[in-house]
Amino acid sequence: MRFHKVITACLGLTVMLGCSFSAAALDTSGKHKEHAHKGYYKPGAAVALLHDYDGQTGLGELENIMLTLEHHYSAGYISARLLETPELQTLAYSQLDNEKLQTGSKLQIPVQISGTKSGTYYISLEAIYENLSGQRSLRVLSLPIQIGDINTSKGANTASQKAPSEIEKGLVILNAQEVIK
Amino acid sequence: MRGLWLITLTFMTVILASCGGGGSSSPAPQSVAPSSTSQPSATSVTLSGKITYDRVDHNQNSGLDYANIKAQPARGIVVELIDSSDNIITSALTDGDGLYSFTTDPNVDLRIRAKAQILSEAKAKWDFQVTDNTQGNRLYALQGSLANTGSSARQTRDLHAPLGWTGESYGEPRAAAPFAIIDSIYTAVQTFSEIDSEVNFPALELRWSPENRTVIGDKAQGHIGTSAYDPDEDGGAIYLLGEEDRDTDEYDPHVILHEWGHYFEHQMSRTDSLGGLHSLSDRLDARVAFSEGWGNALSAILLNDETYRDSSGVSQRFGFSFNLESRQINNPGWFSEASIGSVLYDIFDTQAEANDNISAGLAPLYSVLTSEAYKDSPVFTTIFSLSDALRQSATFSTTSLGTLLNSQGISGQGPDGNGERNSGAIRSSLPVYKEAYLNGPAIELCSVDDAGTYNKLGNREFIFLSLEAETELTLSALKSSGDEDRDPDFNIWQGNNRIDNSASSKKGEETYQGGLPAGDYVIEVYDFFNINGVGSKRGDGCYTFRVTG
Repeated sequence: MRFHKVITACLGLTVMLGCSFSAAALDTSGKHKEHAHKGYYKPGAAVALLHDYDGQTGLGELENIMLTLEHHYSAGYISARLLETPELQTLAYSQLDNEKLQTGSKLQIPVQISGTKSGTYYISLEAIYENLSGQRSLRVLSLPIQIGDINTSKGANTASQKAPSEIEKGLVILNAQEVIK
Repeated sequence: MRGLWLITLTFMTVILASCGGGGSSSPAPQSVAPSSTSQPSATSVTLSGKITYDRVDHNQNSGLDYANIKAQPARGIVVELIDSSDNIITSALTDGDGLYSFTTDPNVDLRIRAKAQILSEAKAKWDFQVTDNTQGNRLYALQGSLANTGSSARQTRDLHAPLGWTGESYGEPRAAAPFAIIDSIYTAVQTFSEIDSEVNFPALELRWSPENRTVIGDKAQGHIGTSAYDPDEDGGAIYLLGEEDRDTDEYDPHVILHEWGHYFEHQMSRTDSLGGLHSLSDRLDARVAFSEGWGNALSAILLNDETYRDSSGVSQRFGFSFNLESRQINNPGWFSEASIGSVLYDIFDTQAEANDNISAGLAPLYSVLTSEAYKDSPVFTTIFSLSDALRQSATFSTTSLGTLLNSQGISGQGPDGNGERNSGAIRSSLPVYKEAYLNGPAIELCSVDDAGTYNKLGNREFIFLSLEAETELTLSALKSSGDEDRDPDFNIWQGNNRIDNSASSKKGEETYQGGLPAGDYVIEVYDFFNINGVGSKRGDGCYTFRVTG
């Protein structure tokens, strides 16, 4: 149970990869304690996405969210832009374009969104880091946005799934193109 | 003549029934009439064919080039012959050209099912499967139509897994994706089985879904964070991104094999890596740098392609790349995954360059990484422990290895990097291991956040401690500099087993009391706020460390 609380708190604060203590446990002093062997992430920009989204947006409500890119670089440049989500209207946001980085700096990206159809959708940010040698790395970070009533919107985002056609005998069946001769 | 007409009709019917372009509905069972009851019937039918899938290459931006789609053989996968009641009649494996063959009865209704699974129960053993974490970790399978085997001695059934790309988007199911993923793994196991004909890979699932997106959360919902090897999930599993227009990895074989490299370390060798965020420019904890450098190098080695590529973005058109042969490395050294990847790739490759005249292939690395001596080392797995083991194996010139390492700013000797001169501009990072003695002099050590937090250089210090007999001892760290938030903690390691932890919330000091048997230990000392990921109270602190007892 305590473990669950830690994860929930972590997720509430940190969306993507900044939650690097996902295997954390809570000791009696209330400290998060890291364990060895976390997930081994693929290479990419070493950035994490923080936010102040409360997890719920009404239908048609204008939602203001402050996205914060946390990084660990002492030098170089970062660019970040939102990737379009058809179900969400992005009314305003500030794109980062070759922002110069310093140790410990955090980059803020205010976003205003709205949605008119209930469901869970995602706003995604593409962050590109370029070091002083011109070497680039990239990472996509996403934040789930809940529009409308969570109960009535269940499965809303599965409507767009291009799911395999059938599940049987523990298999996900995919159609073959077949030639018999 | 009538027989020929029936055969032609049968052929057309099956083609029309089964080549629907991978529509969204299940392939309806197609029962096909025997070709002719009056024709002399074969006593058995050789039912054979080829299984293929679509692969899409990268463009110059490291995005996916949908103008360049190629059908590739599905190598080494499990193929089953299924009857009309969905029972498995028999199974086989495709060969290196994607070909399979069964001998079966004439005039029966059967279908071919090809699984996204490579399996070997021969001398070399493996079992890798691509499953869907959003559908109960079920195995992907490509299915043909239920059709009659006819009365001829031979029948051919070729199955193809299409890409699902309809010009602007994935408008059809992405049937090729699981087979592209498993084929990357086939490349890996083939390479290693040529080195070791009795290699035995523990089973592994690679979990992919079009719903796998860059959100951390419930993996059953596709919230996998990013493509990663998770050692704690069912004994180890690789999760791969699949969300269109954001980040997909099924056609990024370097990404897949990088993660498989973590599996290899975890299951076949030893890893002490913490995981976490990392990039080529980072100054990393030595364990993380080694593990990530190995993953990068291994992917390039297995694909024989020194350019690592990862596609993403709208229509998967963009991405990033890096070259394992590049000499433009920020912060080179024992803490750089770029440096370590470059060293390991240079050990493998046949291309002679300045400071690189080693062309040893993958075999020496495999031999050392899977050796008991390497796995049982009392110190952590780093470039130092690997290079020391390579020196001990004497499979190539140690002078050449020293030259190669030096060219990346790595000069330490022995498994502990003794004498290393490159601090990565973090003074406390040297020596790589400090040595403590029971009732010996105090040691000054620090935890700093100059290179970042959690898994970066300077966050943690390693103290080597050897006990000749079982001892009741006290480990203590008392702050000598730093602000009021500083909170030192310990991990106590024996090999790669963390045998104890001391992590009170007491500010400025930490004390561990306990009994330790005779043996070699590494005490990992760190500041809590430099490793907990949030970093609100991160900062530099130094401590006086003592071992008494």
